[in-house]
Amino acid sequence: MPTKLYDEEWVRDTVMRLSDEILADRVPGTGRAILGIRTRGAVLADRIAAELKRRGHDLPLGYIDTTFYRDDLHKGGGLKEIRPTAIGFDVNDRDIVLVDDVLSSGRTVRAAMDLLFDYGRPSCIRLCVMLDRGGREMPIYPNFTGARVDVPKGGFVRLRLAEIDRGDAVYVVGRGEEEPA
Amino acid sequence: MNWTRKHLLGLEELSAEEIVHILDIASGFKEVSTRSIKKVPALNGRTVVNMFFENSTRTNLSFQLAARRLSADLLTFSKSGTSVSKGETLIDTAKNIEAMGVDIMVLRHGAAGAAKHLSENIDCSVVNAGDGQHEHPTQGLLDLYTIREVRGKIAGLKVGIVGDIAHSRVARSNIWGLTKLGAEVMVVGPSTLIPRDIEKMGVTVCTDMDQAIRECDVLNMLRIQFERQDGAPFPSIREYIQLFGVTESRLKQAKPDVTIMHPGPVNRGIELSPEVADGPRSVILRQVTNGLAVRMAVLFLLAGVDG
Repeated sequence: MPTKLYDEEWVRDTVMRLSDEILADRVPGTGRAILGIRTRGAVLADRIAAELKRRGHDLPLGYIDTTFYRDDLHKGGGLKEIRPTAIGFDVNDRDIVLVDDVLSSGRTVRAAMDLLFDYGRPSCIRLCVMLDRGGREMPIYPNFTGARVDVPKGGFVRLRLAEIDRGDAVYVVGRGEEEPA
Repeated sequence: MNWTRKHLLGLEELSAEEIVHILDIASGFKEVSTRSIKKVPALNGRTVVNMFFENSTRTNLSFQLAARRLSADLLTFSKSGTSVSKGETLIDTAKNIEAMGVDIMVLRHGAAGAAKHLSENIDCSVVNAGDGQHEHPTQGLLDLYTIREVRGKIAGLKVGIVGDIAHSRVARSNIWGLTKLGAEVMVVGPSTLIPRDIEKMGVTVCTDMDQAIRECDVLNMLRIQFERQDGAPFPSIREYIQLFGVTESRLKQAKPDVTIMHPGPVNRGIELSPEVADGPRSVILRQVTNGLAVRMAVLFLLAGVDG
C-alpha cells in the first residue's frame, strides 16, 4: 500500500502558499503568465490561476504537453495520452511560471523549455512544483516548491488531484507497490 | 495503451484500441502545424526513407513533411533514375538503403503484400504507403480521423464508400477501420466494380446512388482509377457520372449535415461536380491537413518501438 504523506488540507494550503510566493516574486514591468505541464501540472496551474484571480490577478493560462520534446523516446513505453499544447498567448517577453506536480530528474522541465522557445522568447521562466523528490539529472531547480520529499530507492511520489483522481493527496509509492487512485 | 508494433502494414491487423490510439496521438500533432515553428525534435537523429515505386503527390509529400516536422533526416527514392530501372529487386534495394542506417522505410508499391514482404526481410520499421489493391492504412487512418473530428464520433455513423471498390486499397483500409470502430459501412458502385464476396468484410452493398445519398452520414467518394482498369467496367464515363456522380442537385436528397470526402486526386466532374468538391459539405482539404498529423503520429509511434 502506498503511504499517504499529505492530505487535502495540505494540498489546499500549499496552493495558497505557492500563489503567495508567485505574487511576491512578481517581476515588475513584464506580463506574467501561467503554463501548466500536462497532465497534473495543468490541473495545478488551473488551481493556482484561480487563486490568483480571486486575489485580483487574472493571468493568461496555458497548457503544454512535452511528449514530443522528451529525450527518452528510444526507451519506448510510458507513452500514453498526448493532449495538444494550448498556449493561447504570445510568449515573447513574458514572465512565465511553469507549473508541474513533481520535479525529479528535471528532464520534463528541460523539454518544456525547449518547447517554449519554439513559440518565442520569454523574458523569464520560473518553475513552480508541488513536490521536489530530488534525483536531479539536469541543472534545474524550482523557484517555488510545495515540499521536498524523500523517496526510498525505486519508489515514487505521486500528487493526486480531485479533478482527475479520487481526491487530493500526496502518496509515497514504494517499489512494487500499487499506484494510488 | 502501450504501442508495440514495429510496422504499420494495414488496418486489418490493428485492434480498435490501436487505431484509436493512433488517432489520439495524431490530435497532439495537429497542434504542431499551427505554430510559428512547425517542428518538434521527437525524431531528431532518426532517418526515414520514402521509397515510392508508384506515382504519388499527396502521400509522398505528406510523409516527407511529416518526417521533417519530427526533425528526422529524410531520404527519398523513386523508381525512375535509380538502380531499380537496372533490374535490382525490391529487397536488394531496401537492404542496401538499410545498410546506410535507416530507421523507418515508407513504401509505396504496385504489388499487394509488398510492404509485408519488405518487413519480413529487413530490420527497420516499415510503413505501408499503399500496396497494390491491398491497403493504404494511413489514408484509412486520416479518413477516420477526419470523420471523428467533423462528426464527433465514428460508431453508429453510416458511411458510404462510393465507386471503384474492386481496385481500391483506400476502400479496403476504410472498411477495416470503420467496421472496427463501429460504423455501418455501405459500399456503393456499379456491380462490375464491387468484389463478389465483399459482404464478408461486414459491409452492405448498394448499387443505387440515390438511396446511398439519402441514407449515409458520410460519403467517401473514391477516384475512378483509369490506370488500374482493364476492359471497360462501365459503358461510359457519362453514364458513370449520371449514375454515381455527386452533383449539387443530387445532393439535395442528402441529410443536411452529410460529410463529403475524397482521397484525391479528384476527377473533377466525374466523382464529384466542382461545386460539391469545393462546397460546404466537402472536407477534402481537411483530409489532407489531417493526413500530415496522422503520418507524424505513425512515424512517431513506430520510432518509439525497440528492435
